[in-house]
Amino acid sequence: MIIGLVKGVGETPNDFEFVTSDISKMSIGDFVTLEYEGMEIVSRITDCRPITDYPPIMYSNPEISPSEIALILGDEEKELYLVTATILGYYDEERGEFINPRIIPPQGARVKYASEELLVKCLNRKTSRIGTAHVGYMLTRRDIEVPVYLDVSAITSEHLCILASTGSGKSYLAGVIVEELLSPKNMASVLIFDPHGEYHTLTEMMSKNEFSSEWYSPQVEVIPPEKIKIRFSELEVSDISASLPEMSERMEMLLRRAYERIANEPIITRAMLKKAIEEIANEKPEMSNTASALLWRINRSFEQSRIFDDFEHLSLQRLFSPGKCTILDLSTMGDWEQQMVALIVLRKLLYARMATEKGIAKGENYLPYPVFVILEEAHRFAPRSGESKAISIIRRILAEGRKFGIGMCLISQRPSKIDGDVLSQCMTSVIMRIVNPSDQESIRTSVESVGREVLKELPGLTKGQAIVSGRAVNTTVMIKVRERVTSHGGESKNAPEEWRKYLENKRKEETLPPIEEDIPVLRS
Amino acid sequence: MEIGVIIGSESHMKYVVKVFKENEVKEVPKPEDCSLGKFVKIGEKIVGIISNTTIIDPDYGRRIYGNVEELKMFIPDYLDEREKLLSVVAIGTKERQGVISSTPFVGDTVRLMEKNEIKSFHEVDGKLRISYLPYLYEEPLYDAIVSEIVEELSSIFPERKSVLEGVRKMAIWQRMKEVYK
Ligand SMILES: Nc1ncnc2c1ncn2[C@@H]1O[C@H](COP(=O)(O)OP(=O)(O)OP(=O)(O)O)[C@@H](O)[C@H]1O
Ligand SMILES: [Mg+2]
Repeated sequence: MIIGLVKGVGETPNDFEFVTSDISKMSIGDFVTLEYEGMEIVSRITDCRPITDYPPIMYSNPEISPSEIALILGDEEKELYLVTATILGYYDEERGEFINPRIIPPQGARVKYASEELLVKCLNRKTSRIGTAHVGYMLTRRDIEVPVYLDVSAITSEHLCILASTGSGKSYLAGVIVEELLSPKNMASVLIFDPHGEYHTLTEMMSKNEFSSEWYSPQVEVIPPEKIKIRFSELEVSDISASLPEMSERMEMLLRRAYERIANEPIITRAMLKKAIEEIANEKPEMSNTASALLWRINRSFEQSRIFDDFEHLSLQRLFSPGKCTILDLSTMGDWEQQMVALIVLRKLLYARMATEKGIAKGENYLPYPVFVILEEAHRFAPRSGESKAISIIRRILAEGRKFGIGMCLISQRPSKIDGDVLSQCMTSVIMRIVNPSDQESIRTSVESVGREVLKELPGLTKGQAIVSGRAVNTTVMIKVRERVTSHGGESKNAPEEWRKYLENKRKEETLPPIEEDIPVLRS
Repeated sequence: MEIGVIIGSESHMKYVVKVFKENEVKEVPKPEDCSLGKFVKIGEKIVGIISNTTIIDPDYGRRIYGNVEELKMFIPDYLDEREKLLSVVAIGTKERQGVISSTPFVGDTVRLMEKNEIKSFHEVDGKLRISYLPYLYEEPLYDAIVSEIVEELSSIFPERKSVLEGVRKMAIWQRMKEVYK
């Protein structure tokens, strides 16, 4: 369908302008095409403004549109709009990418509205079922839905971030992605760090037909906080030292000496470490003060927290397995405990995957498949400033994980508070509504794939709308997130309703009459 | 009702009409019949609009004073030489609005249009149209003429009154903008 004619070049050599009267189709972020020497060149709409310049007085009666007056005066032209579009190029099906022919569209060239068939083909890196995650539909096409798929191999090797203000639908979307990953077309191995305990509803996948095939059905395991255990011997001496407050040099030295004594034991318990410290203190009485200070600190950090255990732990095989989603419910843990869990699990995972790839893995370290890890509230685990036990392992996985088959999905409501290195390693980004200017700015600087024109759209998005860009799609596209099959565990609360329900129930118990409705009526 | 005859033109679009006086026609046009913004027909086909009025007195300077009734009786020619002239801008033919192709002749009669004629002149494909305002724009009384047109058309097309009001406002605003420039 021809919708307009090229007027000339835009600000940059990749931009051009065209004139149209059909405003209904001119959504920013949508696509148009034009024919050039047999190529169908796809471009993205980046701006649209009216050029019919009616005098302001023609807007004085809100009931009459200026074009109505203009029509009476014999101006039969519809209102015209000047649209700016950025050339992406023609779509090379074999290579699966856009190739920009570096042309300047001739004036008067016919601009068409990109067809849905073309968009399905050229937005998505893959349209086959296998290896894709159907996350939603193109936001700007309402009549004919254009599905948008993420390329699963791109997100699981080159990472993904989901960034948006609170309540924009990040966790909901993460749920959609997990549903896709665990469906028979992907059968992924997924681990979720769930600081709010809102992912448990994904267990519904086990009983829904959508997720199973003849021989497959996904496993979902929620591990509650009290069952999350770090075996003391999984800690390195540097982890132990870093977890103890206000360590002096002498304490540090004593800790390392004591640890050396027991380092070769198959299992190291807290009692063994403490015993070794006491032994050294006995041998060298001048250390006894240091020893008691150190023992006090060890007790405080490792005996009082319930996440440490001498024997119990989470095995990698329990956490990771194809066709399984494991949810670590961290909801009742403090920041430090959450970070320790992330540190230990991610480090074990990285070492195991490295060893397995090198062919030297033994026992629990043998993990012969790639995995995907979802980290909610990523700014708590990898903050830009402030301390986190887990930040260096997260940095490392994001930088090297690709080689060892570890993909991460970072979710955060405060992109400006996440470590910049970490964010810049996420090669696919899904950005939803963001109002805060400093968060917008940090997205501009650290999320490589996001274009300038996209940032303008961020405050205008509503719940469930997102801008997807980067490696997992062929070009930046605005989507409406699809509906969840499972229910969402993080529903927003309706406070007035809940207060009322509470009091009504209480009154019922006390057999008082119900609270009267008093809804104000607008008087006319 | 016939109001006068063409006695000359200023351009392809603009004609000078001498208004009929007593003894020239049975029914002498009253001043309000020749007022600004009235739609007229020149000859059989051409539609025009009264855009201005002038009067001339050839005896200015050698004025004879006296009672009009007496003057009429004793010097009948004197009063006859005083003329009322109208400027009429041609705005189309009865078939369509726009620039006319064949011009009127000197001596063509000019008459006021009937309501139904005005109505059909302004209906294009069944819709109200006023596409001739650009030809009137140079007239010094443009905004007043548009006001009159709007008034007249509002009585014929009452359902379009508010849009017509928009047209009037715009004309006034256009003029204002020039005044305050
Ligand atoms: N695509 C969607 N369709 C329908 N409802 C949605 C959609 N996305 C989100 N919601 C609803 O919006 C609310 C907030 O969504 P969600 O919990 O995903 O927000 P969030 O971005 O994770 O917020 P927070 O940063 O506070 O965790 C929920 O009630 C959810 O059901
Ligand atoms: Mg959330």
